[in-house]
Amino acid sequence: MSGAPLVEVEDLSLHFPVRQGLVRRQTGTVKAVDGVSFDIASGETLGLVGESGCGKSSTGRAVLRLARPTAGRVRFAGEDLGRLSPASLRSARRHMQMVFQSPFASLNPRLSVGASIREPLDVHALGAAGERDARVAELLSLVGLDPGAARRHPHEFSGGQRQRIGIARALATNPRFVVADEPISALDVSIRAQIVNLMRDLKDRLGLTYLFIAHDLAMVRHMSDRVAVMYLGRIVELASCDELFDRPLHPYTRALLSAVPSPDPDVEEGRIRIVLQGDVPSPADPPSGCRFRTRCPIATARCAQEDPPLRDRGSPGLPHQVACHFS
Amino acid sequence: MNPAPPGGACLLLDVRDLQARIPIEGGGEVRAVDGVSFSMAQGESLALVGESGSGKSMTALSVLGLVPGGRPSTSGQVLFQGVDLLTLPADRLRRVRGRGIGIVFQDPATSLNPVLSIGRQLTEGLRQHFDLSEARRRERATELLSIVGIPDAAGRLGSYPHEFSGGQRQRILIAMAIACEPSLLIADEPTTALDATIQAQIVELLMGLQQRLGMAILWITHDLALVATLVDRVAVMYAGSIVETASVRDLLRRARHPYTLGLLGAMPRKNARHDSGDRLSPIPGQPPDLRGKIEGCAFAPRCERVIDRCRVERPPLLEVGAGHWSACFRSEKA
Repeated sequence: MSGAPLVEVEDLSLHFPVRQGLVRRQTGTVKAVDGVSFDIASGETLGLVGESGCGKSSTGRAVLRLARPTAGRVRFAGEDLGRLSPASLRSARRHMQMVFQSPFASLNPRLSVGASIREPLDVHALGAAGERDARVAELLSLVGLDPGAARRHPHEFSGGQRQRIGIARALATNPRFVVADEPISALDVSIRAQIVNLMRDLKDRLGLTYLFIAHDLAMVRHMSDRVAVMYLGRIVELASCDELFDRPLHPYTRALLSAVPSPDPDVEEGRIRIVLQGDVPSPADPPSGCRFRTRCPIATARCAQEDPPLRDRGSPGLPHQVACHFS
Repeated sequence: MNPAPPGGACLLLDVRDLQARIPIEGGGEVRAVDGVSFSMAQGESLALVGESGSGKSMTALSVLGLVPGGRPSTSGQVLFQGVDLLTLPADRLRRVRGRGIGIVFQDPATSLNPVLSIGRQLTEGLRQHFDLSEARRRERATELLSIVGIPDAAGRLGSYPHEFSGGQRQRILIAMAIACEPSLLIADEPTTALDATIQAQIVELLMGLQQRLGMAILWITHDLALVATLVDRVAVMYAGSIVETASVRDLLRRARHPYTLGLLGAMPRKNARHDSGDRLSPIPGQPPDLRGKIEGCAFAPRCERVIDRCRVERPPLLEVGAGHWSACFRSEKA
C-alpha cells in the first residue's frame, strides 16, 4: 500500500426497481448494493469476494459509474464522479477501465482484435491516428500475444488468449485504476494461473490499482493486499489479506473460508468445516437487522432488531473492520 | 494393464480401453475419449479430474451410452457388475440407467423439466423401474426429498423447479438420481455451478448418502482441491486419456506426471502468505486439438521434461509406486 487513496467509496447504494404487471408498476426494490464504503490506495489491490447475488459486480459497476448509483459518493483521485458533467466523466473514464468475466461475450465477434483494442484510443483521441496501430501492437506484446493477432478475429483465440485481449483493451488508454470482474472464473485452472501472473506483472510494471472481484478465495488471497467480504449488498468484513484469512472475525467469513477445500491433504484433514444451513435470502426482501442472521450459527434476538455497523476491531496499525455484534 | 482398486475387492465397474469418437458438423470426428481404462470397487469413490475438453464427462457419458452420436461412436468395454454395457440391448441398458447407475449433472437449472412438478419428475424413475401404486410412489418421493434435506417435503411435491433455489434444485436432482438406490452414482461436476457455501452443503449431502446407501461414487470434476476430501482414488485426464492415477493422498503429495505437477503448481497454496512474492507456475500453451490423431504423448508440446521419445511414442500407464500409475516415460526415475 502506498500513498493517498485513489478511489474513495462512501455509502454507495445501487437499487433496482422490480416491476410487474401490465403497467410495469414498481412492486419492490432489489438492494443490490446497500451502503458500501471503502478506499483503495494508489497501487493497491483490493479483493472483493462474496457469493453470487451479493452485489460484488454491481459494486464494481457503480464505482465506475457504468451504473448510476442510487446513493452515495465515489471519488476518483479526489474528484467526485457524481458531480462531473457527462463530458468530463467520459474523459475521466480513460483513467478507470474494466476487465470483464466472459472473454467470449465481452469482445465484438465482428471486429478484428486490433480494431477492438484500438477503439478506446479512437474514442479518447489518444495519440496521432497514424500511431495507434503501433500502440495496438505494443499492447498485444504487453499481454503476451503476437502483434500479428491484431488482424485476426476473437473466435480464432482460446479463452485464455481472449482474456489477454480483454486486458490489452482495458489497458489501451493507460488507466490508473482497473476493475477486474471475475477475470479468471471462466478459465481452466492451468490458464487461470497465466492470467493471474500477467495481471500481477502488469500491476508492477504500470503501477496499476485494482479492484479484483472474484469468488475464488485462494486466488483472491494470492492477488490482493486487502480483502472485503460482501453478503447481501453489504460489506461484512474488511481487513488486510493475511489478517482476514488468518483471523476471520465475521461468522460468514469463517464459514466461507472453511468451505474452501485445499489440495494439501494435511491441511485438508485438519480443516474444520462450518456448513451453513439454508440459502442466501433474496436481496429484494433481506432479513431485518443483520442480514446474515437467518444462516448465522451464533445469531441471537438482538441480531433481528439491530443492524450491526461496520466497526474497526483491529489492533493499532492493523485495521480490521467487521459488522457483527459478537466479534 | 488396468489400474485396479487396491485389495482386489469386488469389482463394480471395469472400464477397458474405452474410446469415444464424436462426429462433428462438417465431417471429421473428435477423439473425446482415447483409450481409457479404470475400475471401481463396490462402495468406492473415484474422481476423474481434468480441464475442459479432457474427456472426463465424455467418459462418464460413454459408460451410460449417452454420448452425442450414441453408442456407435464408442468402443472398448464397460463392464458393470460383469455385464458389458456397450453391447447390452437398449431396453436392458435403460434398466441399468437409473436403477443400477444414477447420474447427477452439473447444471441444476437446465436438468429439470420446467413445466413438470417436482413430484411428477421424482416419481418418473420409480414408475419406470418399480411396480408401485401411485400413493406408494408419492410416499417414496416425499421420503427422498426429506433425505436430501428439502424442508416440508410433502408440501413441496406440487412445486415447480423455478420455485427452488439452485442448491435446492441440485438436491432434487440428487433425490432423483438415488431414487432407485443405485450401486453407482456418477456425479458430473455437481457443485461447479454453485456458490462456495452451497457447494459445501451438497458435498456433505453426497458423502452422507454414500455412507448411508453404500453406493460407489464416480466424481467428475476440474477441481483438484475438491477431491482431497471426497474420494479414495483419483485419475487425472488429459486430451482424452488418463495420465496418472493413485490414491488421493499419493496423488496430491507425490504426483509424478508433469501435467498433474503442472496443475498443482498452477493453484495457489491455501496457506501461502499474500506477500510471500510467490508466483503461480502456469502450464504454458494450450491443450491440443482433438480433431486429428495425436502422435506420441499429448502433453509433450507443453511439457518441460519432454524428450525425443515422447514425440513419437505414446507412453502407457506405468506403475511408479503401489497403486500409483503414471503415463510418462520420465516419471519412472523421478
